[in-house]
Amino acid sequence: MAAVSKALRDDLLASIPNLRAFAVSLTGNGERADDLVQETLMKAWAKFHTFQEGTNLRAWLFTILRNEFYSQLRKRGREVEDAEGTYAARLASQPAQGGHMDMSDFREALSRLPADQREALILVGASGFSYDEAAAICGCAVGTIKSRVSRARARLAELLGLEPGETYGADPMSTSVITRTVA
Amino acid sequence: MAKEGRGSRVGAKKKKGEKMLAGTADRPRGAASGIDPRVQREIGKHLRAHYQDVLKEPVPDKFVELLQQLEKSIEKKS
Repeated sequence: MAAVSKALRDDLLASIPNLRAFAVSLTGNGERADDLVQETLMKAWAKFHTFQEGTNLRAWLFTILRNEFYSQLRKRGREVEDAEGTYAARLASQPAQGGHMDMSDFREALSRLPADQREALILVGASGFSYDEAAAICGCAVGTIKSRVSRARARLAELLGLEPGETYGADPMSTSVITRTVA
Repeated sequence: MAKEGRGSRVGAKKKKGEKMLAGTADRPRGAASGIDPRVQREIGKHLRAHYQDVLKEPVPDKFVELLQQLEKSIEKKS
């Protein structure tokens, strides 16, 4: 038992940075993110017997964290959503290397996305999960994740004023595709 | 004959649904999101940088302590 618990402790410890990054993305608030991670670790420990060995531990933990986040949201009602993204604002903002947008602008735009789109985009675009894994974590269809990711990207581009025609000199065809999709 | 006809109609219905799904999945990523690939790359880069900022932070002591406590509580039980 001691050996098992030590291995589990090490695995959980190793996944904490990822859990925190996901939690910050969900809550936009560092303090609440850490509460969420703490709750996730305790829940994971308590129900570790339900984890199927050989399956993706990180995906399992993300599922617990996400469920915890939404159950807290329901409990607290509407007062929660930190639309200001206070944590995001507190993080040092680094100018993008040769990019056209500022990190703080990006965080601000990210915090304005609907929660379901933001989590889909983070899971696929930053946490490194496949569409299938993200769908399993969110308990929805793969197609739903794909469409949320697309809508998240389109909305971000819109919020950040990334007009391809101006900023990137896109060819007329892709510009028309974008205009049609956003409209 | 009639039976066969009904069966194939059901089959055709299913196929149509599959086709629709496959159509969405097969489109290249840029086209699926309706976004210029360069804009998409830029968003991806910032998204990962945003995530990395938290990922790079050291694990707060309270989590290390919490796990040690959990581990101890199990060792006591066994």
